Amino acid sequence: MDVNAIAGLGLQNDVRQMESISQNLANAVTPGYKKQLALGTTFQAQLSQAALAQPLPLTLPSLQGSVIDAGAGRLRATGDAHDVAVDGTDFLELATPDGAAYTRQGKLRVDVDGRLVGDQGHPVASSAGPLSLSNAPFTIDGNGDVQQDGRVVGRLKRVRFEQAGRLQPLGGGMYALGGATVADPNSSAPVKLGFQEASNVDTTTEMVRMSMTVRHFEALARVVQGYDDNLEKTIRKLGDF
Amino acid sequence: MNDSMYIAATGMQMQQASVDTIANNLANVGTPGFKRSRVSFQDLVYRDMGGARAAASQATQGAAPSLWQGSGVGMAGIVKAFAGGELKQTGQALDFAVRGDGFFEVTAADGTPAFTRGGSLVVDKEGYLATSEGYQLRPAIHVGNDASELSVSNAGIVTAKLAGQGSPSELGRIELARFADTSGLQAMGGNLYRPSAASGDAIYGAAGEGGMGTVAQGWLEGSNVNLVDEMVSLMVAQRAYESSVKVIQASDEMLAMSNNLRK
Repeated sequence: MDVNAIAGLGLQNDVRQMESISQNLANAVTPGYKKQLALGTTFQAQLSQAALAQPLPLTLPSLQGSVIDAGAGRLRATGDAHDVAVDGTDFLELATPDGAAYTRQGKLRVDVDGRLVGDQGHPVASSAGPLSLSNAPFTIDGNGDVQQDGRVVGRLKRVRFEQAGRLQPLGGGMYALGGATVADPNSSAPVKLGFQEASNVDTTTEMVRMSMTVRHFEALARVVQGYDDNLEKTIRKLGDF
Repeated sequence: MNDSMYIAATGMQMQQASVDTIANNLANVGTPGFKRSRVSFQDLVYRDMGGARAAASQATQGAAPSLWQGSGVGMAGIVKAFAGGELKQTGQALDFAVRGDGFFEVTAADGTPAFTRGGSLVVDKEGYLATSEGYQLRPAIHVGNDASELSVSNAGIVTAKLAGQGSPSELGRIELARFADTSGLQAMGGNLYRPSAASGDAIYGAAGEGGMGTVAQGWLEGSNVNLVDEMVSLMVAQRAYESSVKVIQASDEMLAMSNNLRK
């Protein structure tokens, strides 16, 4: 395989890696943000795959895709009783015009139409569908029950996913189902009131990833330069004859 | 090529906005009735870079996972936190605050309604209760310039002893207003707020009834800025800004290296 082609793809992949690092660091303080990881396949994995299935040709070490790290971020106390953080890694469900979306950002409020909405202005799904509240104050308890005027109007829906890493990021702290599957559409994960989930980006890890990526890029650049030197010498030698 | 620089630039811009907001909060730490703001961050839209890749490579085993590429961080808005500030007793008959939920309504300079959490009122030259900027309360309450012993009950009933009268008489009642979504109010400066499409129209009510707060005469509401919180946010914003700068430096280095591939 052509050295230049391999190095070229490697360089491109490093640029993509850098983009995901940049994205994570830019969102290091975005509440409810889940860090992104770029996935690659190693040359070795491809070799063993090729050995198993003969028609599969060796491909260059390209990035295979990206997943999110669905791990929980730290909870930060906000003191606002309408800030809801779901314990564990389950998501709240929102009803958007494009279908259900999932979020870990539980900054709830009542909008002009009396609907209980999330930070992005989309209604929050509950056991009783989207909730309509009156102007009176409302409370939420640890089970996710929304209460108004002393009665429970609905229970916040929490959804647990299988392979949550494959959720499709939509922006605005929301995720679509993507490649994940719903494991439990009505999980009973407790909710923490007066807390907001922080971003789960660890800046130190990202800085380590960043310096590794830059050095990897540098190494590949040297490979290309070295190969270029070789070619130059070869051409000169050939010219001597 | 190299979106990482543009992504990091959004990070720097948003942290700058965050520092600006914190600066405003800190500057108003002693402003009566001031409500702190915060920048609400959100991640921006994602593009799927995987689809093109999967189509290009013939080796697609099963469904190729998507390569979602983000475009940085944005601002969902600058949100005011209307949590109550500490009430401080001043003993001044014309200092007003709302204990609990609710706003006083005043008539702004252009004749439209505006809302305030209170402050030091004056009796203007026409004899009406007004804010120190001269905006009269709504509904207007005529006190007159020779009244004494002005008193306002928790329920908002204004009484005063008028000239030539032996006992105080009732002059009117201060109404309070609430909003469906207080965070949607638009700040006009001078501790005045204007309703917007996001906040909904004012819901009027008598003080002390139906979840409405009570009127506190002789009290002023302090700023709800918490110094410690602001300082911590400031440090976090500064460091987050710094990390985006590092990304730009590193991306720049990579670009320099790729430019130097050809000597």
